[in-house]
Amino acid sequence: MKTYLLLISLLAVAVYSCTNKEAIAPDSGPQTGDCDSKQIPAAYVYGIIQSNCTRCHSGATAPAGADFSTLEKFRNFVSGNEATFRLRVISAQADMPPRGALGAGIRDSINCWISKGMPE
Amino acid sequence: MRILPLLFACCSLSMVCRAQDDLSKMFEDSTGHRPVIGTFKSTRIIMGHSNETLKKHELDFRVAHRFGDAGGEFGGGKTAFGLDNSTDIRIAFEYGISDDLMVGISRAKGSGDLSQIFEGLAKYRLLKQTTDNHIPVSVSLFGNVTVSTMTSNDALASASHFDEFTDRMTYVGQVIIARKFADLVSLTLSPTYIHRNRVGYMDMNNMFALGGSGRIKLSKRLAFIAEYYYPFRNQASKDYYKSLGVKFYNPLGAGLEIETGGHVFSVNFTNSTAILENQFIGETKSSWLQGQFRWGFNISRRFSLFGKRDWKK
Repeated sequence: MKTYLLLISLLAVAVYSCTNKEAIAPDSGPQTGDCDSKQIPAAYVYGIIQSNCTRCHSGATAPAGADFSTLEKFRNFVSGNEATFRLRVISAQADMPPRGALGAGIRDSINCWISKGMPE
Repeated sequence: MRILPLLFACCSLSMVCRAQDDLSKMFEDSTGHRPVIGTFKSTRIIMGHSNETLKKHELDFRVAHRFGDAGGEFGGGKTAFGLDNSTDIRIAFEYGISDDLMVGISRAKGSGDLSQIFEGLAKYRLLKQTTDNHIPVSVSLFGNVTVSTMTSNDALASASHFDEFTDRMTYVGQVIIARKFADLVSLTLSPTYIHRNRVGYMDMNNMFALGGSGRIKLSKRLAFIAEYYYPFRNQASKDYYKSLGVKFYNPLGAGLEIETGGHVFSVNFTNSTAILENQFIGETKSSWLQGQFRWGFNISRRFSLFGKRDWKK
């Protein structure tokens, strides 16, 4: 009987703990003003990509066809797969690189660079 | 005269055989309807629960493991077809409080929005199918609560950002309806409800799903098992995630169940990366057709506790 009472008590606590929360919409990147004032060179962005991504994402066998072995190939991939790249690399839900998402500041910078049309 | 001991031995043996018949009556209930036993060999099928519970004072030590993608972009020869990676690992201790009620605790790595998960579970056998079809199906009730102990994500938009302790919790409630057909085939239907206290933007706090599974006995110790879940995710949520390049897939698993006396060993292939219902039903993003299926196994080792005390009673 004690066991059943304990289980019912635990169930009551669990039900009492129920809430319904939803995360806010993912950040769409830096505000236009912030981004406009930033000068982010392609070399800086590609340096980050080389440090964190090209070990796997390089060559013909790159996962998902995401070959970042040159700046141009990286640009071409982002142009054709911008939503996917934003979600997986620079959004709050980023799951790439697999060992841990890039820092928030770096992600903001890449986001800004893409938003400005990936300038040199 | 030498034949007398032989006759005596034969008579004794026949009495033993009759005693075995009497033993079978132990399984009859008070109304004379004999319950069907062994609808499934284990408390789990592949990913989800079967209708079975542990016997009273039985301890079940379970280990479940899911490897990485066998094929697709992250699989193939370079990862030994997924063996180099593990997507989820679960270790559990489950215990039979009575023949119809079991409880358990587990720790899972987690694969989805949350990780580092502790789980508490309970399962109760409500109805037992009888051999004379007086009760045509077995019905069990399953429920669990999980708590993620991962570090809270700084980003407010992340599903793993926790303002309060309760944000770390998820729940599953399930009704498992099972029937065994002619000793060879067992089928289940499992209406399931999942509640997650905190979810990502446009994800669902409350989700219903319908599970189905089957077991086909191939030999005394070997069976083919399969399992499928259909989560009812709303269209707005599907559309939003599709716009981000994310597609959800329905979990599907198939495998072999091997019983080796005290152990039940299940070798399986699934597209879901997670082990807990709280995650694999609503968060499976990998597809069989893209090679994103994985090898996995469930090992169960049962121990009878307090056995001598029960025997004396």
